[in-house]
Amino acid sequence: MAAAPPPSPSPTSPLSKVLLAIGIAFLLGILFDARSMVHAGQGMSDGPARIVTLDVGRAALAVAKVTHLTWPRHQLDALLGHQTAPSVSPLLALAAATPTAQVDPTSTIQPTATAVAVSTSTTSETSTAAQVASTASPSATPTMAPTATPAATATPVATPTPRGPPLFQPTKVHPLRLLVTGDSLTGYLGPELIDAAARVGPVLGFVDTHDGTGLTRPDFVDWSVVASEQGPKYHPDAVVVLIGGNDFQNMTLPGGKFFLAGTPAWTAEYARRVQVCMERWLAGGARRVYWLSMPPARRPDWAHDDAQINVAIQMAAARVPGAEYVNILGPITNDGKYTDFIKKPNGQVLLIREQDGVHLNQAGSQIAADEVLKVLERQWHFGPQPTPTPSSTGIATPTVH
Amino acid sequence: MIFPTLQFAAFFAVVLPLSWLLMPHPRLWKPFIIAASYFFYGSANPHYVFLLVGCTIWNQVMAIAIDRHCRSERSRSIVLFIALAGDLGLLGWFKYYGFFVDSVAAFTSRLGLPLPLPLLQVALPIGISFFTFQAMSYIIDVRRGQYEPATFLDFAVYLSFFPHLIAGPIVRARELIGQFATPRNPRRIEAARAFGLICGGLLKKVVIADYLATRLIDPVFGAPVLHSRWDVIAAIYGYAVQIYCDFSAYSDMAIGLALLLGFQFPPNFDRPYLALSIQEFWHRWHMTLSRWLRDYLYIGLGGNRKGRVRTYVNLMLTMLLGGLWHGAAWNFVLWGGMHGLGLAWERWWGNHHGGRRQRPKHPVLSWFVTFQFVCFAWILFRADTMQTFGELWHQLVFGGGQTTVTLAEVIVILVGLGIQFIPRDLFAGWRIRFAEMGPVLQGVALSVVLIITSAFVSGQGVAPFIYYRF
Repeated sequence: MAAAPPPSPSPTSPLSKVLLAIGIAFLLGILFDARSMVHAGQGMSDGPARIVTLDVGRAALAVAKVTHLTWPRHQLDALLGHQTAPSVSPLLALAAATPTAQVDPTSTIQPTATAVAVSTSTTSETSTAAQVASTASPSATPTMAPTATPAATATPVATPTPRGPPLFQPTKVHPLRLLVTGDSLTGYLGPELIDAAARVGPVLGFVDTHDGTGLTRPDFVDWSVVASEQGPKYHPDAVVVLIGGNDFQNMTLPGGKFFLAGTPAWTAEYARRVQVCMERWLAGGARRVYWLSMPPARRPDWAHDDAQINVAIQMAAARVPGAEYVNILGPITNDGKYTDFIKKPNGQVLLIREQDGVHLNQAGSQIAADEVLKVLERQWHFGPQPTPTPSSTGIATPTVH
Repeated sequence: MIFPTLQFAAFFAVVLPLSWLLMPHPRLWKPFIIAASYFFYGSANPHYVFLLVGCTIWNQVMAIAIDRHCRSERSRSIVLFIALAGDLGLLGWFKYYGFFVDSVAAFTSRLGLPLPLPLLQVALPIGISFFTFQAMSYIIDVRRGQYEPATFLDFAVYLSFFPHLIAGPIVRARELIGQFATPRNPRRIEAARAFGLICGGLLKKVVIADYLATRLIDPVFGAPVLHSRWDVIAAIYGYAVQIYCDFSAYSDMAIGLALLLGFQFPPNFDRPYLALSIQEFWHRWHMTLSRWLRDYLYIGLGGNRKGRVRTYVNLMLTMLLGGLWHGAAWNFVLWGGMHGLGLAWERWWGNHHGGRRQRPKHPVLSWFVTFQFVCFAWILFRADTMQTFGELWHQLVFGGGQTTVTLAEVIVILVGLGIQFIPRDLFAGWRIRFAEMGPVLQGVALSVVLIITSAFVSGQGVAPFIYYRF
């Protein structure tokens, strides 16, 4: 195999000139783009690097604002059609406006200090949120209730919400606009679910994955803003959400209020954020929001937080008409606990998790997608489509649930 | 830590001046650069640093054993075999164990004889394919008498040197270790070329590769049944552009960073989509892997010295294993096999039509056929499953409906392809003009590129490079 021709003779420079050029580039880059530096710092994990990045970024931003050095980046953003981020995250601003980011006393579900498994009553159509609450008591252990283990559940269960906008039967003319969104956990799940749904029903699918995001860091990416933007962008009838892979961390409000991960106060604050996002999607025109249970991570301490996240989602779903908690843990866990492999009924052993011990791999995502699809099929009445008639063409036929 | 991030910029801003400061004192510089490289590698998972250290010790001990303690050819071969078994064992365990066990378990299940195989989920250390291949090239060169064992520190710097550690280029010991012998000249840094490669790499990665991935390729390959024929066609060509702009961007940045530190790496890409044959494509695409496969696998198998049929078989085997190197999945094996078939067919055609060294009679036709072959072979590379592969082809043939491809996406694809047609002299001219500028103007120019790339990066940051997972 022939070697590539040698590169053309290249001019050289002394080290002092190189270091000076790099130094000037970094300095100008930080000044012109200080907002990005602050944003990057907000997305970092807690630690010295985050503190330094934020401190340097904020100082540079202050200088840049005074000297109007933010102007070129603003113009570039406008040229590229980017939206300027709000100065204060709405999710945090809402929290500040709501002084008690605590448990809603009227809620039937209370956060627990211990990991609480998800209720999986098989009588989903008639059960109530109160039934869910009955298994999510403070005394519950981190294992699944023996009478309601996910593994024993034949069908996935959504916490039923008696109210909510009426559903319609999707047709080829008026397909179900299905948005699958969330953090990197939806990387495989989204395409798998949309692919599977499109095979069985008239579905127009969208996947909007935001890697490395979550509800604990709205200063980095505010999911209530994302939810508000997704309404006019995708016009979804149904939104399937899976978020939480990056939320194994503490939360802080602008006023300095601190929520230690895993505590009941943390769960209540997380539930509040879930609720806000659910409301944003529904306000944007979605008729249902299906928020999926967070699959447990391999690390035991993370698995504990996952369980708390699932409790928080249930709490929020119980408060928001049209929002539902969908438990997908049954076939992808070992009685609610983390597992890399599962055994199919035919004896075949399947690897279902990525090597990082957090994400589902494609096979696992396919199984989870099938679980969600069962809920969608049941609620949206997929199946043989009637020939379009003048009454149904182009107009949604409401099917009230 | 990936190159186009704030963390790496901070890391490099510290390492660059310190490296030059310590360069005149190799006894200080070598431990420093090893420590910096281990820090870089360990930033993702500190445990994997032990793997890198273990790989370094193992290969160095074996190289010394071959060179100094083995009296006969036979004993040298035995030690080489043990050394390679160790390297391949490491690679096999971390990269192929799951694939092997999954495949065997699926096969026996289909036969109705499910085997109780030890199922384990093994995490893949980043860059393992690259540094084990470098270690293997070192020890094979020592065995062949083409290279004497380096000192432990030199070998450790060679294997861990952070610009190439994660995703190449696959540099040979004799290309790099020789450069450690003499301190680099701080008055003669190829800065203009380095900045050109780094800035060009940034723009290719962020403006072209990531843009096409998020807007076009991921949605289409994620759910082919929802897309029309024209979407699928655009995604196929778009992926050809994405993978080139992604991987060559990493290589360019690696070469540029090494240049700033005073070291030369071999080129890894040479406008691959201008190739007039599959063979030429592999002379231009991931060149350091191509020559590794040629020198240590194809020639080791006998190359073309054992008759025509054996040559075809060797080509096929080399490409199948080359495909498997890219990933532990059948789609990569099939992708390699497709290229192996293409190379064997070209060799057969050349043998029967006037010699394979001849230039093609119809260069435009040859270019067109080669380009289509390469692009459509990428489908196997990108499709996560054979089901996705089948769905893409189904949509390609039967997928009606309107396209969702935008004019901007088409333009980006054309730009990605078009940059390969820019004459080399043009880049050389830019480099000279840039070098003539003062440091302030150079800094301003560099900051403009930084701001542009930052503006293109979405809120979630730069996507990982495709070749990171290999």
